[in-house]
Amino acid sequence: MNEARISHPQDISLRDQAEAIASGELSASELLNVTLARIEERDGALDSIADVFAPQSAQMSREAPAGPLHGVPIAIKDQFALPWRAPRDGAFKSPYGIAPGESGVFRRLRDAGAVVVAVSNMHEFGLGSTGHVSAYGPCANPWDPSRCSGGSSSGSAAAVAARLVAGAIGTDSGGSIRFPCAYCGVTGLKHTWGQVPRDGFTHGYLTLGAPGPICRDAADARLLAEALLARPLEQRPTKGLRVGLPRAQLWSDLDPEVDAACSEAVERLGEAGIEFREVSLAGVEHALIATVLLISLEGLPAAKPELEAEINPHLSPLVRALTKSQLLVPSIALLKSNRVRAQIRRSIAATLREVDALAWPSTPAPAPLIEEPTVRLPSGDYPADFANVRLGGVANLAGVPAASVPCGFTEAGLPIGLQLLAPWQQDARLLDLAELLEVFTERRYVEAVPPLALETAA
Amino acid sequence: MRDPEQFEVFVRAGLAQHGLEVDDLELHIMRLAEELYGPLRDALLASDLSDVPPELELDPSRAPRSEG
Repeated sequence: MNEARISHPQDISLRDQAEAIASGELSASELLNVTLARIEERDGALDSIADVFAPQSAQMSREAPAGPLHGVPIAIKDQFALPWRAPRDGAFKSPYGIAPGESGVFRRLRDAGAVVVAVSNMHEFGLGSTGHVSAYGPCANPWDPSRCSGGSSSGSAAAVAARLVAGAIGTDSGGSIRFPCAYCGVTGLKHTWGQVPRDGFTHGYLTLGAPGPICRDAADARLLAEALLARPLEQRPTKGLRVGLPRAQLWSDLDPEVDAACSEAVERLGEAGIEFREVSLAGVEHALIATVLLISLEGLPAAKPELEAEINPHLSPLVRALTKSQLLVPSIALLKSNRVRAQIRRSIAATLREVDALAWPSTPAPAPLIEEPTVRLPSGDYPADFANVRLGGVANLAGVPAASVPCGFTEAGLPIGLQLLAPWQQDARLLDLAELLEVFTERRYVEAVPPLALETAA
Repeated sequence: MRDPEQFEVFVRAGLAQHGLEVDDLELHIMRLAEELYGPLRDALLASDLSDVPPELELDPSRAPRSEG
């Protein structure tokens, strides 16, 4: 642990926390206590944390097995059953009737020695990319609390960016890890579908959604991902890797600052020996609507009618209207969405035989205002959800792993993220590329500290 | 895109089949969503995907088994 640089254990990386505990330099109970204190001190301006449970966390800490995350506090999105808490999906209650218990993600974290310190805020039912709609209140962006943190894994990304925790678990069914990571300037990875146990996960029924780590940099994300996957993610050489850029399709209609920052990242990776090629993907013109329809409709059979009736009056008007709209979608639209999905999966598979990864921006614009969550693009102003899912949904339809990596800031100081996709099961390659970008940008984007974290640093 | 009156009739009648009602705010939100997503849905419905074979054994954890 570098004492000269450290004023608080949550200002160091996840791996340094683990190392400090392993070496005896820091005790797990001390780390837990200062983490809870920091959440109490700093989260008021953000609302990134939905719930803390000090007695249960302390028990986890005391009973933590030896493991790569021994004693390290982790926040977990409000979609996973904990032995002492049912997930609520960012709402009054989840419609899926999941009771308190050991979700698969909880078991993986516990078995790695981690301590679940908090449940993080999220967009209600996961039905949004902004994080400003939640039963817990809107989740603010640590870089500018008047702006959205992104969603639906809003609290996970905001808490990591604000240095409340060094690692958090998010989930991603249409971009819900990558959007908040881009907005909050942190690193997030959506795993290949189905690699993490889905029991006790409110959206475990979805064929689009996957959990993943959210951390400040790729090395920390690798450590947390290894815990989630329960296997090593070996670092491999990146020299000579080929990355495809679907410029005409997914680098279009972007905020100019996002375009510039992502293009700059590509240049840096090019200097690092990555070869770039223009590619074209079939079916992406329908990716947005296919993603929205599948996310909306796949959950309907899993919801319990009696719970829906109980929950409905407590939902935000936005989500209440959207959930009612789901009942009116013509069935042919779902069938055609699945046909589009097949087309995209085949095209991605064919393209990823010619290149080793794909890249385009994580979001088309930086974080919008909470009061008005619309983004301005060259073609006009749009609700952020509409604009974001166009770029996020492709990876979910395909099932491939995808990451958002910090790659710049706007002039106003808002973070920008580059999205990377790899072939199925090649999750580690995304972290290899992310680490390469960190090196070739002198780690300036992953080391940047939001003003809120500087103001309250003790 | 449906005209506003037709849209309201469609929504109210459709939800009534599920035993649900819709208030003015919900209807307003649905209209906004329809303005945005309706054209994309209609384009999807109008698209000719007859030469795209379905993926009969979808496993999103792996590449598709056949090229179709």
